[in-house]
Amino acid sequence: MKLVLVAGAVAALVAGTTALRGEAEQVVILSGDTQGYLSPCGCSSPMIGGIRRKAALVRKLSISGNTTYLENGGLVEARGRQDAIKAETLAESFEAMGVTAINVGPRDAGLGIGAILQLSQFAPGKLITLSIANPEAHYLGTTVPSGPFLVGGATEAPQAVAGSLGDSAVPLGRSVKDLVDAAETAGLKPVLMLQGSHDTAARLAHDFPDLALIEYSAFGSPPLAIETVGSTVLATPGESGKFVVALTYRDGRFGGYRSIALGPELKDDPEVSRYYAAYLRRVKEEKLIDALPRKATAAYAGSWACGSCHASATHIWKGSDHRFAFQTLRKQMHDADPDCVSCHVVGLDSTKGFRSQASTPQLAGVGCESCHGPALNHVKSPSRVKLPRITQKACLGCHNPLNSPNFEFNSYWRKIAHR
Amino acid sequence: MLIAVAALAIQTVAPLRPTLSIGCSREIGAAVEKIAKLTEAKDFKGAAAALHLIPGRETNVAWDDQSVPGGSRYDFGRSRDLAMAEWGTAVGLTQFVVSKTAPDIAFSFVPDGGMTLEWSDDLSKPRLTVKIGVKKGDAPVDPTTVHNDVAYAIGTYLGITKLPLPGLLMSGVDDATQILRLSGIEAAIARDNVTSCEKVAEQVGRSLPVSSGMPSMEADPQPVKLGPIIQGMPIELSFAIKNTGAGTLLFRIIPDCSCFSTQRTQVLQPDKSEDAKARMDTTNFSGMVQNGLVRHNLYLLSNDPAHPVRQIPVEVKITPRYRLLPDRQVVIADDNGNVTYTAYLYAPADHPLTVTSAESQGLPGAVTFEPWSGIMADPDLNEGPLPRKGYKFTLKLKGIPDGMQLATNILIGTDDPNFAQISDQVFVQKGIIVLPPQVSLGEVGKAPRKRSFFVTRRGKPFSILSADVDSKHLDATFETTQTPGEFLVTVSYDGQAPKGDYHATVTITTDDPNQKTIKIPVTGTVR
Repeated sequence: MKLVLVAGAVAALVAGTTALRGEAEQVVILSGDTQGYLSPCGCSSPMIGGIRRKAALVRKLSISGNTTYLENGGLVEARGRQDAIKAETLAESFEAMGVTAINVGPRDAGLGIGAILQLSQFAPGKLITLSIANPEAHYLGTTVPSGPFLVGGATEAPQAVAGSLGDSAVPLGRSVKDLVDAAETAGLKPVLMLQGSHDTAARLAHDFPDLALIEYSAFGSPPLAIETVGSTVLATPGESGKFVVALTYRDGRFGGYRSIALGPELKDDPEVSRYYAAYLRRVKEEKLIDALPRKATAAYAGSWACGSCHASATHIWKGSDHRFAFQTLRKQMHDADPDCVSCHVVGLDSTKGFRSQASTPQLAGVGCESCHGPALNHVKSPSRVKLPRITQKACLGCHNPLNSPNFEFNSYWRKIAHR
Repeated sequence: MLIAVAALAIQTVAPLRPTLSIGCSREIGAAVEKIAKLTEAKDFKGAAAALHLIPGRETNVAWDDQSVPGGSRYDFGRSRDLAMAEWGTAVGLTQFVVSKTAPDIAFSFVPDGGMTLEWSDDLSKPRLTVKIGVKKGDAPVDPTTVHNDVAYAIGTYLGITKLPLPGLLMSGVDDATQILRLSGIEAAIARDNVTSCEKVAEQVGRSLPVSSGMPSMEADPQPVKLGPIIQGMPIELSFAIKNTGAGTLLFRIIPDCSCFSTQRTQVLQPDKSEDAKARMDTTNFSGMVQNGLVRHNLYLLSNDPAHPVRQIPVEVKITPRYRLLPDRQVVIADDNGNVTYTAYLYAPADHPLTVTSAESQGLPGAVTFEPWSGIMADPDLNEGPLPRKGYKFTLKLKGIPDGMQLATNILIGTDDPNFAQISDQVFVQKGIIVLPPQVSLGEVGKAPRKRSFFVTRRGKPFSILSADVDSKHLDATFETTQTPGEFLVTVSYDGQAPKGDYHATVTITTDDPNQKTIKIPVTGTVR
């Protein structure tokens, strides 16, 4: 009798908690498609993005026990060793931020089964996909319950995920039906993380009106306002982990839509900052720069060799930020990071180019040959070997929208104008 | 006679027509307009009194922190001083002084809620009254928030409108967890506004007229939706602007992405029309699962106080310029270390791409290429088998060593200047491979932790004879998986290593005479 009473009391307590939770506002945080941008590159200000800022924001937005935080895959873009280390760092960071689920998309699966195993150990039970037939054989789950929701992950390119993991693909429509059915059985609202386009998300919302929310993938910035198709909310955090979208859910309705840029107003989270520092140490210890593919080119001379004939241009270079570009990286502990070093030295993709500060000091920093190409032969025989003419396209390899979002040729050229 | 000449001289002086900055606020526009009208009515005394409505050389700041808990007053005061100093330095023309006398801005604290700002045209009251909640929800407000609130309020007083661009102090974001710094554009807007107000004050001081009539921007920029566009094709956008007001209109488009190039600030006299233009470079956007959907925002800033900023959403669908298949490929070398790998490039049928060269970058090897057409699926784009046309590349490599996975590139030259050189990364491996090649425990504490990894050789089974470790804090076991020729090795960390970086090595012994031992570094950080 006593036991029954206790059990009854516990049941009442659980029911009460459930009732309270049912009434409480659920915070929904949408992130994803980090695409390997663990850090906002420091090339120009104010840079947006980075996991250290994201962690600060996610912690600020989260309400203990009433938060659904989704990472819609796309952790990295490529499948090299650095990408695998990035993905591990992201998984460890997302776990620290209290992630609900991580959708495994084509790029993530492309890292291979070895990497997926590691990620599943850094974020146990959080990696999910409905896009392959046997996810558990690849250390993946299918759905995760969170508050009033059942969260599932899928991709509109299931063949790409299946091909990378050696499994068979599940068509998207069937994946989503599985999610909707499972949610109905559990008495929860289905939420879909979709590695797929807005068009596909809209179609799914039309075909599966029970879906409460679809998080999809898109380049650029999130839309300014909440979008609904029927009663399904469609939202995206945009590209490169620059934004987080936050919503609230209460009484069966979403509201409070906000697209929040991860700007400099967000102080780096201390815990994730430690993981980020460990990432940089791993990149350095594994000597990833030495493993970069290089092509045979003509030899480089170093910018100082240009000065004897091009005194004025060299003088301008000496006073420019370009000259000190590698030192900037060293200060930021990124001097062994291939992602960054390629744009801060001369000829990283060449067998004759930058190797290290110690062995090729004349090629550390952005120099004349970063734009004009290898020039040792020109230095030896200026009249016989001419360097090719270049245009402003020479700038765009490094000053691209992600690394240099404020780049504008005319104003930047004025800083280094020379003839 | 002399008096008459002087009066004539005053009458012939052209009245000042103040030009505020792009991004100026409605309130500063209205205040300047009010002063101008007073001068036009020759009420210079009234105009001089009304100068209180616009920022001047000295800004008095009243600070009532009676509602602030005693322990926070000092820190909040420092936050205020920092914000005032930043604006003072950035603008250079105005000093901020904490004073109870004739305050221009009056700060006070209330028990709860976010910051509120209230303007007043009453010359006996502070121009701007700012109330900051001591608590926001359940959380007490901190010095960082006070700084950002004070800095935002000062920016508002200096006539800057709310700017919805990411990362700016004047974006008025509510989620800041650290101090926001002034950007160049915010400082420039404040400087230009204060300079204009200075000129107004000088004019009033000399009893000279100021012309009323602000610029008025007639523009109706609609959200842009374009596509599909082939990646690399530029997109020209233009928005018709007409100045229907009396003042000189300044306008400028500021993009949220350097994929746009825009013009510098444009000047438009009354009744004149001109286009605001932006050009989008689509080279950096490919298709993939996003289906090429790109969203960005343009911000049309002007000095029309009624419309200082308009946000123009831009949505473009972009089709990839080319596709390289297969993607993310790992190629297994034969027993002699030789690799032959085939890749395909295709382009949209109506935008063919001519390949001009192909070479191997990285591992020594040779690449040949030839025109190709056939049927092929593109899984990443979720496209089944379709007719494609492009090129076939054959990469031949020699001498791939055992036990390594190496990256190499096929470098492809094309006739499209936007894609003059493109590369296809290929991974090659031979022999027994460890996946991943190094194992990270991550950050560990006192709790034990396990990590597993694969030791594998596809298509040619082998045996592991032993798995040893060189650390007393680590143990290693191994088991076969369902895949022939594959083992799962598990290392168990005991949680007892001293603080700092942790390094250990697992040594696997195999029955393969070419790879008798394989070493796997294990790293972690002990806290």
